[in-house]
Amino acid sequence: MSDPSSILSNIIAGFATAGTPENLMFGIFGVVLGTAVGILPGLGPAVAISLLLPLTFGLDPTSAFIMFGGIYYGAMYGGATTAILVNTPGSASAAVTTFDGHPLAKKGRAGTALLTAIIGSFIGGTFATLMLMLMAPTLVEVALKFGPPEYFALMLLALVLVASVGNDKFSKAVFATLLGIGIGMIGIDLQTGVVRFSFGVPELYSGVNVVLAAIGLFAVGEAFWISSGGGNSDDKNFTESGKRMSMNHAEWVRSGWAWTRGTVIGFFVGVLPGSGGTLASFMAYGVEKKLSKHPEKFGSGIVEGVAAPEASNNAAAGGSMVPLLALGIPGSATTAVMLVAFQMYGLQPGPLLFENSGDLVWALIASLYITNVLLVILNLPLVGVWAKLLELPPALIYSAVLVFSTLGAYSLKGSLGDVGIVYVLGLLAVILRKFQFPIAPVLLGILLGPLIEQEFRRSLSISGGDFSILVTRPLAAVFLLIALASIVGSIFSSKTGLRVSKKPATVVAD
Amino acid sequence: MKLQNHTSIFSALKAIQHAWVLISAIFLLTPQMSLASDSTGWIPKKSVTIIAPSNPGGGWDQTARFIQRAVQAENLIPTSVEVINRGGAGGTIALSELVERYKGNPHKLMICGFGLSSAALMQESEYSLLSATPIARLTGEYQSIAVPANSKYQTLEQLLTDFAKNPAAISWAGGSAGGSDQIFIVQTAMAMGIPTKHVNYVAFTGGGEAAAALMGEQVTAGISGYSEFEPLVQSGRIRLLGISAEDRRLDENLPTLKDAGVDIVFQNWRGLVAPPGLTPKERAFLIETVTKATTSQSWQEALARNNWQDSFLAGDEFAEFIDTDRIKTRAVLAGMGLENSAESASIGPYFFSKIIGFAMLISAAFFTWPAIQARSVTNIRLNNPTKTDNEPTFPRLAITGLAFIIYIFVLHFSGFLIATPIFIFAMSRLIGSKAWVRDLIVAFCLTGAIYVIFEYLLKVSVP
Repeated sequence: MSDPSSILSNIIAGFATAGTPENLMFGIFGVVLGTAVGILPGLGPAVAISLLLPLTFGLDPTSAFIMFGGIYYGAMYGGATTAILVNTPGSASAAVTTFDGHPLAKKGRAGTALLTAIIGSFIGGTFATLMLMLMAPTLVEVALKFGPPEYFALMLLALVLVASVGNDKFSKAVFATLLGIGIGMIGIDLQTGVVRFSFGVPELYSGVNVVLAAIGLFAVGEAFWISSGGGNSDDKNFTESGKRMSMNHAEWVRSGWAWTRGTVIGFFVGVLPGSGGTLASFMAYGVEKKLSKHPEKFGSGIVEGVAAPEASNNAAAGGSMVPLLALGIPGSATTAVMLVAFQMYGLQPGPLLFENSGDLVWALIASLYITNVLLVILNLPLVGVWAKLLELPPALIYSAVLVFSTLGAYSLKGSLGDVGIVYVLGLLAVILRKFQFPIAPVLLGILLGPLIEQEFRRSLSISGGDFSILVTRPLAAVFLLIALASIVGSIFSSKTGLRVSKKPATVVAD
Repeated sequence: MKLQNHTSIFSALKAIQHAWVLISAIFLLTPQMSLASDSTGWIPKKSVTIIAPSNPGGGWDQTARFIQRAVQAENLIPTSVEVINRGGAGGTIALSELVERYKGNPHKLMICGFGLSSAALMQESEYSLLSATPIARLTGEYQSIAVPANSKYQTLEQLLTDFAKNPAAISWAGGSAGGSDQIFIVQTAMAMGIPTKHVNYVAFTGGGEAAAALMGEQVTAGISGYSEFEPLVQSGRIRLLGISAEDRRLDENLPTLKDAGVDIVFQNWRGLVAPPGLTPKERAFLIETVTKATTSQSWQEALARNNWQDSFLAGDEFAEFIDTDRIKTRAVLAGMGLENSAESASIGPYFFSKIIGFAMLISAAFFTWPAIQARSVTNIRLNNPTKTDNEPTFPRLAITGLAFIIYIFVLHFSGFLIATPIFIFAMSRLIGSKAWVRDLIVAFCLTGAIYVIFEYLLKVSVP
């Protein structure tokens, strides 16, 4: 598999299998469905694939997986559309895209934002597929080196890097992050089975997960903000937004760097089991801002603020295929469903899959390239159509957002309890915004808090209660040092009004 | 030449078949099943739903889908069969839904298993599996013990000897607390006379993550179902040491715990239950259908491929089994005293939360102190560059909140189609629309469109 010429001949054969008109049809269907579920809050690629599973029994595995690949990549892009246009991300991994995507739309440049998102998604997905093809076995070795202490340090670093993504007051960002971590602790504790902070409400036993949080804090939060008197519905630029879909030379260059960095970060975060697209997009945004010459412009609507996270979440989707194909371990909810699909076809992902069903694997890889191209071809013409959405009166847009959010939350477990959670988070978001607290760190806390806590406690279990395990492992120590430097930098810069800490962030990008 | 003709006809047929699948995929409609025998006097009139009480992926989901496939392949029921996922709280959320909401509904079936029974006990939930109607036990899976390929442990005896000597030094990776992996190792420890609080169990979110930790040599040993570990052995990264089976029938090279001198046989079983309050005829039909499905070729292939044991047990016998199993599990749970086990002495479930709470107070002090000093908040909302934004007001926020509470209640009592148009209309008013007629029309059209999209295209049921 590592021999370049055999890779070439294999992938050509793969393209021959995947490129039949019939398979292309499945690819197109997958991308369209994926984009649709990406747009709808609450529904994601995992749900879409599991809905289609029973129908694919009669299909050739190749056709089925081409469709699934299309759904996965399509969904990762789809969430960006509504994030940019109406400030309501369709999926958690597009939450970051609202930071600069929506301000761009307000400036009348929704077309530009969608353009950089689409190209970013394409680059992220394509590069991830290339890496998957060339170095899956090597990457797996690296991923396995990550034990609980390394995960703990990495997640902590991610939290620190990203908690300061907004331009808000540092102490308020910290408070919002901690609040998110606290909300993330609600529910059954994984290590002991103890039910925490649920006040006897069974609906809270399974906790507030990141999907609910993204719907509540962002989609419902935005609609509530508008309905309780916020917003600027009479902005003329905004409604004319879709007509222009251009970037100037400097923006192409800046997007180019953002796509590249976002892709690399997203891919590696995706390879690590259990982290996923949301973390990838947050980290890409955080790093992009740390490296930028004008970090203060982030949040005001600049292209790299959209380019980086959108490239990153698609690259993460590709990255999560690495542990699935090379080890048979699902790294995300979507790949967990794909694993079931493999097993229903009598295939066992893992090193032997390449030997036993090489044709299928290469066809799958080829189809991932194809679905990426389809993603661009299908979605570019749609940009104008989407932008038309802005011509609708806000009353209708946000009513629809609320109804879709309600159904999205309901569809997860079929419980009105989740709908209640989403609304409570929506109210929380409005109150926090009213008092100038940033919302994104709350989501980040909900996402990362439980991971940090569990990895911390796993580390201590493994070491028998010895805290030194967190600093004696080299990789973990490096991550912690960067995190520490970043905190010091943030405190320093918030005191003096400067934004520094450029050096530590560079290390991360490497 | 003739052969070529045949192939082209064949491929044309295949293309037609595939096109059909694609078309039905587009509408997400499963073809109607032909009528099966109805010797028991009741047949399903609507599509039958198999609830997997977990998120997509994983054992319960897989079992649900294999049963669905068997029922479809054998045309056992005249209507369609669908699988839905209802994850959360170890399956207890799905269980209470089955018992409360679907009471008396013979069109619902739910996958259950050891883990669900144990989760209900641990959470002291209102319902147990016996609150539902037991239909059949389907599969059993033996637990296996594995170590990383480079581990110094070559045999089960070596590992267990060290475990007995210094239990805390051996870390065991497995699924979430109270699941079959942990209960199995705690039972083993109990049988070996090791105090359960010394068992160093490290819980991971799922079998996959536990397996990754094992392969990366992060833990001493791992516990999982034989079917999950067996494929990883082929990759040469882990070594199986033992299995919780009765004998070596499954894998003759793999010693059982009994071989190593520990008298433990453990099976992680899975089965099907139906809602309570079914008529005898309905129950009989479901049992008969499931029995037929499990004798089908499709099901038997699934068992063989996944290394699942056929542990079929129907109706009353299954109910008895659930009862005895539950009593046994309760004893183990009581013995391990969940809050003390599996944790290094310094860290309990509330350690981290206290740190977070403390840190919140400190950060709050940082932004409240200057505000108190200045007595006026002159912050500019930096994160939102358009300063023309109107600020929300609390009375309007309160009205919005109220609208939602009403919406949830109306949804609950009169359903989506009545609640939603009213809600959309009310929200449009609140957002400031003045076009009454347009909003009314839109409210109804939007509701209808959303209903069709979710109910028929996505097959996601609305409240």
